[in-house]
Amino acid sequence: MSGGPGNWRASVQAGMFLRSFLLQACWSFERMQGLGLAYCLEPWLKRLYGAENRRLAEALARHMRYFNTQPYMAAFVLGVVARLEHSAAAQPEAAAGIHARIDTLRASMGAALAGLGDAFFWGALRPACAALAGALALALVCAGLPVSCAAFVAAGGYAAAFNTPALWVRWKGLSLGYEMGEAVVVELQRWDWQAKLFVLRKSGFLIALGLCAWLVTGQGGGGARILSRVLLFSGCLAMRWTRLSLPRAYALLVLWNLAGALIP
Amino acid sequence: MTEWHWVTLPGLCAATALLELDSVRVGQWMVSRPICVGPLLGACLGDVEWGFMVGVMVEFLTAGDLPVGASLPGNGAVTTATTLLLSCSPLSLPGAAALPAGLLAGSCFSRLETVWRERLRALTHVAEARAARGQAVPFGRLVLAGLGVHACACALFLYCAVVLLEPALRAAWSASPETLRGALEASLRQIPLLGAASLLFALRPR
Repeated sequence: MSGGPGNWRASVQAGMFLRSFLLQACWSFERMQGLGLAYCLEPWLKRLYGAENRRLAEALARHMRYFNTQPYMAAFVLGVVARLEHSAAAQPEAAAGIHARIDTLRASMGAALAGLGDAFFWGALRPACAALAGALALALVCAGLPVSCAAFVAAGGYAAAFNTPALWVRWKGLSLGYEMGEAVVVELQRWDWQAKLFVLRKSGFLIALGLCAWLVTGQGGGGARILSRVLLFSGCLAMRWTRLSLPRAYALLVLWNLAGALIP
Repeated sequence: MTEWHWVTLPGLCAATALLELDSVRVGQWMVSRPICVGPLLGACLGDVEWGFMVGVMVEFLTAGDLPVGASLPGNGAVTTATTLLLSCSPLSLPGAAALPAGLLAGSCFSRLETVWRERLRALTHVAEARAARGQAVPFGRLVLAGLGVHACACALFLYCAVVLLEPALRAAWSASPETLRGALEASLRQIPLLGAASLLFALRPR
């Protein structure tokens, strides 16, 4: 591995990367990802403190405190914390100050990265991948592929499109966090997340718009049927706009159809 | 109760619960998303096409849900699995009856999940007590306990939901007037529009 102090090796990074998949295994309302963070850092802390059980236990206890962020972005925090823990282990006289710094960074970086990661991964990438998978399935079925094949291709495409950037961020976040320490925040600003977010959302929106157009107009029927579907679609959009929960939105749809059947 | 109830259904519930771990507890590789669960469960039940249709519909409907912090939106995997287990199996309930039941089950599961999320703080307390005494923290066992509680609760919930809902829905379906059944069937045909509207709303320019 390049950059960063100490004996950070690819094997350590790989161990932390694998453990980061279990960051939320013990998620609870009280500490959220606190226990998971300590679990991810354990191999590195063992390497730093070796047989010193007392110092290792103290370090683990410190990391079990409250922590929460977006799970993929947690890799950056893990990298930075690992670097600072290395500094604390190397300079016992300055350890108290570094530990206080770690606590502050965990909270501040966690919150900032959560906002960024939630908007990017949950708010843009996941729905964009869903739109892409829907469009892919539709295109494959229109091209004559059986629905069962198109289903698996679309599901695989969805998982691949989402996981490629997600896994990359998880891996790169660890090494960058460790190499750059607190300066990783500056590096993250250079990545221009807002522009990527905008492109992703816009592309996803256009694909979703195409799907909507196909659903409304591409299923045959005369002008009256298309108009009724447009009206229904507008109603559905209004229901989502008012943040109606799914079961309620569905109940309203049933009521609408019931009223249509009962009112001559 | 048939062999389906004693062997196949528990097996499928357990498999779905293991997949569902991906939603929060393990990985977040998106294999627990309805678009993946639908075709997989559909293939196990012998109808990939219906599995995919349900999966895509629920995926679009839940695309904008943000699993942020303590917020628990309706569970897409449980919604898809309940719908498919009720409709695309020897139980063969009409999709128009199974889908609302699935939506309800997904919503209820999320509310119930808060109970064991609350209880799982005990794992942190165990780890803290061990660390305070200077002893090794048994992370492996704690992680397994966290995953085990979630998977068992999910499998049990799915099994109970299917077993309890099936006779109730069957009776309600046959007793309900033709108009209501027609409205439910029309809603099932229209739900792709609601799904597409949800997806468009999730990706709207901000």
